[in-house]
Amino acid sequence: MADEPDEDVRERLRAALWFAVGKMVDEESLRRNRNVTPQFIGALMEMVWTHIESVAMDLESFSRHAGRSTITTDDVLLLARRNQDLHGIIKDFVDKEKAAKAKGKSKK
Amino acid sequence: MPPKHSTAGSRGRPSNSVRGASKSKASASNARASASSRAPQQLDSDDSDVDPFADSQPEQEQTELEEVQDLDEDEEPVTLPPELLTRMLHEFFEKDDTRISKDANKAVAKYMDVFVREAIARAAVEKESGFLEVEDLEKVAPQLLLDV
Repeated sequence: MADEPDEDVRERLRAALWFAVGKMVDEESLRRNRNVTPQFIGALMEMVWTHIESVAMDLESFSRHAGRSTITTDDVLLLARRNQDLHGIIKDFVDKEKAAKAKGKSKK
Repeated sequence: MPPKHSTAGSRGRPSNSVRGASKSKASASNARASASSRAPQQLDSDDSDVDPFADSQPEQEQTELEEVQDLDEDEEPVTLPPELLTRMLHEFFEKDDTRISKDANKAVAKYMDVFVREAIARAAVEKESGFLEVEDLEKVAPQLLLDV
């Protein structure tokens, strides 16, 4: 990663993110039967990019504050602390993942 | 340092993207069918979906192809690819030795998924008909960012 210029890597990550966000928007707009301009997707992707940047730095700080260098699900839950509903969604998701994992392990 | 498989993932993406785009049409119709019954389906998935999900979990490390196939089974709606998210997070970490657990990565993917869908939903409420435009996103962005 270090041998490539930073800008080049970021450009490709942005392209990949654009594609991924575009797919999500396509699905959502089909579901809602609404049309979306390409500029909307671009702007949304820009928002997601910036948000991921701040999320990454928050998560890093949270894990460091807990004396860890690995980010765990607890850090992600802390990220959603301000919104009770969002916190609930993430908590359900994490619990479900854990349950699925435990079940998968006991099977094997 | 990013996980080893992520380099392969980023290279694989462009070639897969064509495949993904063509398949997304097929999965889109599935998505629409599942969309109407989305809420009850999620409730059901608590127990009924556990088995296939648990089985597919180890396979996710291997290729993105399988991820595309997962979409066709419409277990879960489209979300940010976990590998892409890992790469992006590592790009933004200030210290190189920061790592993220797999579960946490998935949780962040879910978080961003909620973020994107919430943005679209709010913009759609803001504008009742016609194309969603950048202006509509601009109107809902400030409150959205305060709410996450």
